[in-house]
Amino acid sequence: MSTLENIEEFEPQSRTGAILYTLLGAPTLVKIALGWLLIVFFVAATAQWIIPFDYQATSLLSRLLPPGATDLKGALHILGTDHLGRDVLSRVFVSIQITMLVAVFGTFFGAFVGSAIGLVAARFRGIVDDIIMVLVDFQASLPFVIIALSVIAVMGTGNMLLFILLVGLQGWERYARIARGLTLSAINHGYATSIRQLGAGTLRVYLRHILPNILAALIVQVTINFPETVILEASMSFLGVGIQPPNTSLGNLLSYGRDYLLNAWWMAGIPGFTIFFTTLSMSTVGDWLRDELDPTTMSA
Amino acid sequence: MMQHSTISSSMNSPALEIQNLSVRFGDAETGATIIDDVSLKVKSGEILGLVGESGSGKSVTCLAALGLLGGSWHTEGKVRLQSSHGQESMNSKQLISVRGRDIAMIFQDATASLNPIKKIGKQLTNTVIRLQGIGKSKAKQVALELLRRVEMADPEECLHSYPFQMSGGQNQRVMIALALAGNPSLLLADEPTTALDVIVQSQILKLISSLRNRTGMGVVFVTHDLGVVNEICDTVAVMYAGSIVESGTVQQIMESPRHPYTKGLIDSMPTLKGNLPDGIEGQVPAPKHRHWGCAFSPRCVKAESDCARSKPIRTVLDETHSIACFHPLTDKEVTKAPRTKVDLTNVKKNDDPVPLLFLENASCDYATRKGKFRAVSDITISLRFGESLALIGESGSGKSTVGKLILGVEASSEGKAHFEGKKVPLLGTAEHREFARSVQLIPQNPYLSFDPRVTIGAQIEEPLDIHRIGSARERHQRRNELLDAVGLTAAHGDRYPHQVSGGQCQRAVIARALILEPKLLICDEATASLDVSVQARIIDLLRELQIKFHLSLVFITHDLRLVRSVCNRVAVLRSGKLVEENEIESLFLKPQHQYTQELLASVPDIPAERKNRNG
Repeated sequence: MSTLENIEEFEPQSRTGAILYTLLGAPTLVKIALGWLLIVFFVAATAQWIIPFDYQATSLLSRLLPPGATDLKGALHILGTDHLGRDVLSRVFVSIQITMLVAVFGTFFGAFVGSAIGLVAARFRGIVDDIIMVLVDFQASLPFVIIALSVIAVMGTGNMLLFILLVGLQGWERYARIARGLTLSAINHGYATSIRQLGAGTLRVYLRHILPNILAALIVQVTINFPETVILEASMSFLGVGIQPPNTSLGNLLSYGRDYLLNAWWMAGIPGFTIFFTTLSMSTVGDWLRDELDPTTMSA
Repeated sequence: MMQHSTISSSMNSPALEIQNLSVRFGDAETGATIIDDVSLKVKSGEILGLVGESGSGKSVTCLAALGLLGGSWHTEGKVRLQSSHGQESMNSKQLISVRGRDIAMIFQDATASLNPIKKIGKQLTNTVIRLQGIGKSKAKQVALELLRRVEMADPEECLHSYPFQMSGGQNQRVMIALALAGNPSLLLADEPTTALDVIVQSQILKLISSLRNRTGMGVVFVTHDLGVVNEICDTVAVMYAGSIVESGTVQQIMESPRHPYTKGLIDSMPTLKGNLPDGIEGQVPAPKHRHWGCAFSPRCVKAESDCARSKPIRTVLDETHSIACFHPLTDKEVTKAPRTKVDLTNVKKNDDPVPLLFLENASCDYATRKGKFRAVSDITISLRFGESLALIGESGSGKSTVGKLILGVEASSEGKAHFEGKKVPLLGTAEHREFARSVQLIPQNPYLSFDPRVTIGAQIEEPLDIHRIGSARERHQRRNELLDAVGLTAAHGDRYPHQVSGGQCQRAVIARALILEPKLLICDEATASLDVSVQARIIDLLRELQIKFHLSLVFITHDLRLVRSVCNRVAVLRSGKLVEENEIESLFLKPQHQYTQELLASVPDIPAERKNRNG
């Protein structure tokens, strides 16, 4: 109360202006990470239009060309070709698209399901809460890859939608935990009590008031979870139970490249670095975002 | 750089002398002056009261005296302490050796100031070893002796307890024992009794004053409660916006305040007499936005054009009384009669045989790990339409639980809780939705009861949306009417809760509660987190609304001084039981129960004859 500014100087700031201001003040590393993510998302959105070659076209005469080489027809392969003579750049671009598709939809699906479960647990408490929390603990103690592999073993490969949902569910237990914990503390916080006291129903209290207040923590969890989803997708595809040919993903590329690691490093190296930089960027941005969104570190 | 020095000991030398202390926070561009040229003197064996609203720089002055301001704080001026060492300037290392030995401090929240995972005996012995440099077994003896000196009921037991096992008052005693460990010549007490119940507060005040008598140490007592000042202080310094605006003996300050701010503070204090407190308009400016010239002039009733031009210099009225004001109050203004007791008879009452609120032998249990805990038992209260009730009690007396029973947050485990002849429905049931329109709550902390991410205006309107009343435009209009009724403007509606002051936020909470036109408003310590100057204005507002909207109030508080001007009935609770219930006048004039008498006697009050000699 004491440090309150004189109220007159509070101009309602535009939201976008505030966000832009925060971005400009970000550390260089975060700016680089954001720049990289921007490129990745741009490629993911426009891959089919910007690839120089058909990513599925094989050419046995121009196999394993190194980056920067030209093939027999005189076409330049900036990142070389793979063991079937397919253009690596085009394949990486298309892979980025599919990997991002899986990661973005999967992450948001997982975030939605996990948070909803957490809210339900917090709302009903009692036996519902107990059962959900047992499931959460169960999930937390079991590597998700094992579950994913067993589901794929039963359902078979090649179902893209199933794969996205499966990969997305990874990490649901953490959303559930965060959402439940924060909701429990929020529900006893004054504003939730007050609004209930005014006669508000459950949906209004939880969705209109509590959710916006705990959203910041969930968003941070998304940025932590996203790279894990990318890696899970890559691992599954690497093991051959993820994205199936003729489709391709970064994990697929990595898996093919493994056999040529010594004589054609670019086949595995380039998708590998793409995965590495993308996940690292996302984590960097996530860390920064956590500090920015945390009200306790916010300057008054 | 500030010079810290010690003064060679002699009987009449001051325990603390601060000369021209200025404190800045932050760098030249963005920083601000927090303390502006403050000079103070505390003699040995004297208790100086440092009073002012929050944000006036009282605590920062104490921290500067301790040399605890580091980092971005820049201090200038001299702080001299009495000590057996010779006179010397001190560096930070020497300051550490001074802290605890020459100067010690106690804080508002004693429980939070103690280490929660160490037994009190250990904390105390360690401090004694550090400050007195004696062996462990001997230090234990000293620790026990210290606990005896602070009149701890069972010192041996206390040594083996953790802070969380003790009450707030006991912990404050431990804090005082810790402060005494180094036999300091000066004790800084920063609102040490604000968080305590009246009876405990009065015991702690007595303890501090008797320790002062026995040890002859000087005490700086920071508080915002002038009743407390009146109780234990010898001299008073009134601070506003980083400067001392008036200082003098307690008699001079309380009986003939010359600065309009001092008078404003005194008039803001509610008294047992039931005078309507006045309050001061506006709020303490943030350090960066202090007014040029006299910082108080924008809020001052006597401000003239010259007040804004230059800063008033401290002038001496007589030997002990000094003031920084261009237009001090005249004798006549000083003795201006306070607003008289409120007449609540014009509140519309009806003779409906069905009472508005009726609790009959109501009890409430809480489930704990050890089984059931009975928070309140056998409460019988009846309140007619238009009447207002005060629920008085210490913390843990169950007064808030009674509020919860009335609100339907808790169900009574025995007995009945009826509102307008019908059972109070439990929160979350369909009937409660309708019931919520009739009974509303004003909680203690206004900031906590608003969603921080929604504008105040939208939250004031929200109840109408919940109950599907009116069109969007009508709701908006109603919201503006209510903002106006509680003394805010429509522009406040567009702000977020953290963008308004505590008083304004509490007004907004009241507006939200009133938008459904309830019949009963439950104020649960609704003004406890506010400054006295603001508290007085909120009380005023509640009283006004009480008449305007024909409201009944249930006023839950531990501060007896607040209720006489707002309520017609009082119920005194103790450990979950109703010990006395009566008409307010009868209870204040002739308290029947021993506990009520004790409560009334413990209240640090400003006697009417002091507050208003001729009134």
